[in-house]
Amino acid sequence: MNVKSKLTKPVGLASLVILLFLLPVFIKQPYYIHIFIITLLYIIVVSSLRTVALSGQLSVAHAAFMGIGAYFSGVVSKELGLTPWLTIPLGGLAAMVIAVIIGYPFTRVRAIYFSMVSLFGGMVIVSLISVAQKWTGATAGLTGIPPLSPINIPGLINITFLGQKVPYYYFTLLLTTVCLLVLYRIEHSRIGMTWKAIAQSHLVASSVGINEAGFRVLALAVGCFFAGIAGASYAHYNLVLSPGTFGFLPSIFLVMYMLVGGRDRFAGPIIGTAILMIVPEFFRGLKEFAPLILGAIMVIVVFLMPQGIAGLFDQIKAKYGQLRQREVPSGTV
Amino acid sequence: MDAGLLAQVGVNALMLSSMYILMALGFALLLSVMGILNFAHAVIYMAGGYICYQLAVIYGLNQWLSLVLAALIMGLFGLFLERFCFRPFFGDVNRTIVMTLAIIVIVESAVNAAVGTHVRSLPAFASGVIRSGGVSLSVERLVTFIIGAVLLLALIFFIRKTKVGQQMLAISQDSIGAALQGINIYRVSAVATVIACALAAVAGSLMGAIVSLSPYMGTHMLVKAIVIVILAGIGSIGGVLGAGLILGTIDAFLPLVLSGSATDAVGLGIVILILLFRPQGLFGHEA
Amino acid sequence: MKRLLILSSICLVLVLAALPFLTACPAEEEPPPPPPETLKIGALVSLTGFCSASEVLIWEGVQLFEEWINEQGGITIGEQPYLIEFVAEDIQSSADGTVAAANKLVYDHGVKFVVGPVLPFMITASGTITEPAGVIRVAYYNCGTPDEYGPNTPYTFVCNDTTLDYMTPNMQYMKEAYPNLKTISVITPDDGAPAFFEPVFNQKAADEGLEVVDWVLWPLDTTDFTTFVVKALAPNPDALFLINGWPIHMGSILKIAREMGFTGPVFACHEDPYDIREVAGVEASTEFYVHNVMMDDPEMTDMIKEIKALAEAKYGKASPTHVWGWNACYCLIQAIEEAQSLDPTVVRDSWEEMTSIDTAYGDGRLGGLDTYGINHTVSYPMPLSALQDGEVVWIMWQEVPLP
Repeated sequence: MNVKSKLTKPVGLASLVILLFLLPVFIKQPYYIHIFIITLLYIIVVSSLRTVALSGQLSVAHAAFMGIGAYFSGVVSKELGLTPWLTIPLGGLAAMVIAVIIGYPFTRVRAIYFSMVSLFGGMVIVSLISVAQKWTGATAGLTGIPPLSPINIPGLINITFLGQKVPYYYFTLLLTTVCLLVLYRIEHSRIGMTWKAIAQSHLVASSVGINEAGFRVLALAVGCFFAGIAGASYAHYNLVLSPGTFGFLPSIFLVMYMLVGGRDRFAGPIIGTAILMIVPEFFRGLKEFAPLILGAIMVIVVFLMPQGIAGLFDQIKAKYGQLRQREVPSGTV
Repeated sequence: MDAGLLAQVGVNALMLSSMYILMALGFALLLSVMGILNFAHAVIYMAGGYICYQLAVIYGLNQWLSLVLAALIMGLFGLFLERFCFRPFFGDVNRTIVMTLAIIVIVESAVNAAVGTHVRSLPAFASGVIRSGGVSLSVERLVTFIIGAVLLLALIFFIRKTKVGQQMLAISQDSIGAALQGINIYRVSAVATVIACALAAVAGSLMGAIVSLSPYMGTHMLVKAIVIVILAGIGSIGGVLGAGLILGTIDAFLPLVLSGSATDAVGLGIVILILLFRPQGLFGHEA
Repeated sequence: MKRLLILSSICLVLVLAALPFLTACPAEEEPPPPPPETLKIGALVSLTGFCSASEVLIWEGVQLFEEWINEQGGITIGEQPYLIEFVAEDIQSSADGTVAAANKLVYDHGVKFVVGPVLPFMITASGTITEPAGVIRVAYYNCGTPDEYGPNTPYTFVCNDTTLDYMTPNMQYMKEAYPNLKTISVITPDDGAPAFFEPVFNQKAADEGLEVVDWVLWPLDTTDFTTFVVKALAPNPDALFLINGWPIHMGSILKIAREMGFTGPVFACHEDPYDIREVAGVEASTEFYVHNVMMDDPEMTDMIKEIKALAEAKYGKASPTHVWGWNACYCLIQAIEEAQSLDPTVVRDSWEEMTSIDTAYGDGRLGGLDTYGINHTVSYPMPLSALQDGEVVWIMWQEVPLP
């Protein structure tokens, strides 16, 4: 039984990844591919939000950092003519730098204060994007963002991205897999342990010699780097950006995706984002009543699944275990 | 910049502060007493305004009576809210956040589907404009200011002088200690929620007359309320006055010197700076 | 005997059965008309979010048009009649929602023609999907940003009035009605569009001998406009010009302006005067001008009168926004019928060549080459209505130079 349970998780994950890689073979409609691409990008963002939250900082500004990556990469590649393959990592770096700059002063605020100050900070960032209209076009939109440059290895492969959804899908799938692997590894390293220690009790952590401020900034930097990467990739897929996509409501929604999916598990943000972004798309036919479906999912999860959707499996296992125990007649070990 | 202009903007700062404070009062109460960020405050504010409209305009009742009735109705809704949406998740921050956000999503879409296509505004609660010394002030705004001041004072009095209020104070300082003293946390929370919802409904109705009604009017005012309670410091109701004045002054004066989105950026930037210097809010844990 | 009876009955039946064929016209036998097929046209409208208050009315106008056109038998391409079906997808008042909705319409529903949206960033966002797919898009509005509509968007047409086109006729009316009017203050949202139309507006004002004394920009999430209005009124302008915004903004600005003691005229672009009056209140609703129709006036076109009747029958209330929604569909249908093809490229080329087109607002012409670089604007006389003493009054139809 031990060998079996040890293998089930990796095998399950591997088969999921293989299934996702084969997706475009089964689903041809570009509309569904589009939904998957956007969902994958947001999975990166929400997972990186969870990484920041591991250190006890619930940031309500994450969409703004996605925006920093998006606008930086978009503007630089458009104005300077650099290839997006270069500007996407640069976008991530830009988001990371800004995160570090504002992260240090923000270590002065804790818990709920930190969350709300981050909310304000995110709004300031988005307003500043609007102020820099000359380059960003403000609400009217940043247009003319170049798509991913074609990959051309003569004789081997020739992939163009412009106007094609499937190449973008594979790029996004690869990007998401890599980012999630990295985030997972970081979480299960000593750094991750330290973050969790700080989150539990910052006083105890400091008394053991942990540089609380330093690790908090590190969490913010790592999380915002990946948010920036996802944002930049979004920019070169969407080809047009508007500040509203990165405002305070989207930031709140990101927190919600994470909480509904389950804050305590790595799979939480992934499941939460996937369900809350894909399921409402099936209910577009309800027109103005469509958001009610989202509300219904949230209510169901919050009442029936205390640990979020990701915790559902464990919940069922626990319930099943309870039921099994009752069957054992008393007196038996 | 001439004195008349500054005086006019100064008066407006005062009025704006009162509007923000009205919105923030109920929110601050719940945050202090129950420690929860009741995001649903935004839609209770909005629903209160729409109910007042329904009563006053569609059913033709006296507008002040409609205001009181709207407050009562939303207060009753507060009972439902506390019993079924807050109490099951007491202490679980994550689930409370999701619950309140779910309420926003559901109520906003419901109102939008029902009446969203019609642009609505409540008729003014008081008509006329006072002009004196180059400064114009609409009576409606002045009345709102007075109501806001009265409600703020009434709330502070309620917390300091009444038994239930004292219990709320105790819970906000130490909820476990208060329970050990025999305070029924759930009952006190219920009272707090009822008051908070009634206050939100009053704010929504008054703003619905000064500005207009929209299913989405609550979300932006909610951010102002959050700014005020964080600036004031959790646990401080009196601090709402100071924080409200600060925010009202910033929002009223900045557009004079800055243009467009820069006003938003600088305004919030100032708030962040204040918070970085006083991380626990201006008035910390006092009431 | 029995056999004779049976035989004669059979003959009778045969004769009776043969009768229709014997009496029918023997010369030309017309084949029965083919059953009508359905032409799906997409509509990008905000059904949720802050734009929904007005855009749902646009969608209602589209649905009114759908019923009307189908009652007339739809359109005919060649021998094939088509009934029209409009499919709306919610753009959720956001760029993301617009992209998703456009994707759904173009790739899932497979439409070749789309009406909407309204705001510049939504038009730009949906353009990234519809333009490469060669789908014709009839936008409802235009703020003059180059990425919205221009040579880069060959499949986009504009069938309703726009910010830029009506500036000069508006100013000419201002001078006529208010001969002493010299100075204007402009209040407009800070959404990136002013960067493009500010120089144009200033230039046109200078051409008409008017002076713009202040440009006040407000952030999009403003609830209280008092300081912005105070700032705009500080240089004591003769008139206020409000460019772009929704009724909740415009009405609030008007109300505050009157409270501050400003008695001069206030001009706005395309707005619903009834909604503005609702927000501003009856007292403030005076000397306020909009580019829109007043549904009750006898000077309305026959089509507007018909729309009014249909809207009142179906929704209980007719709004100028119903006409706004109707018009884009009406122009699009004419273009398709004129081209006698369902291929968007063919329709586009044919539409560009049309010298005249009927609109709900009157006779329309194709223009836009000078101002936008592309001949895809359906230009028609500017309707001018006003709020005077709390009432919506009709002013006039004003001739508009070809853009």
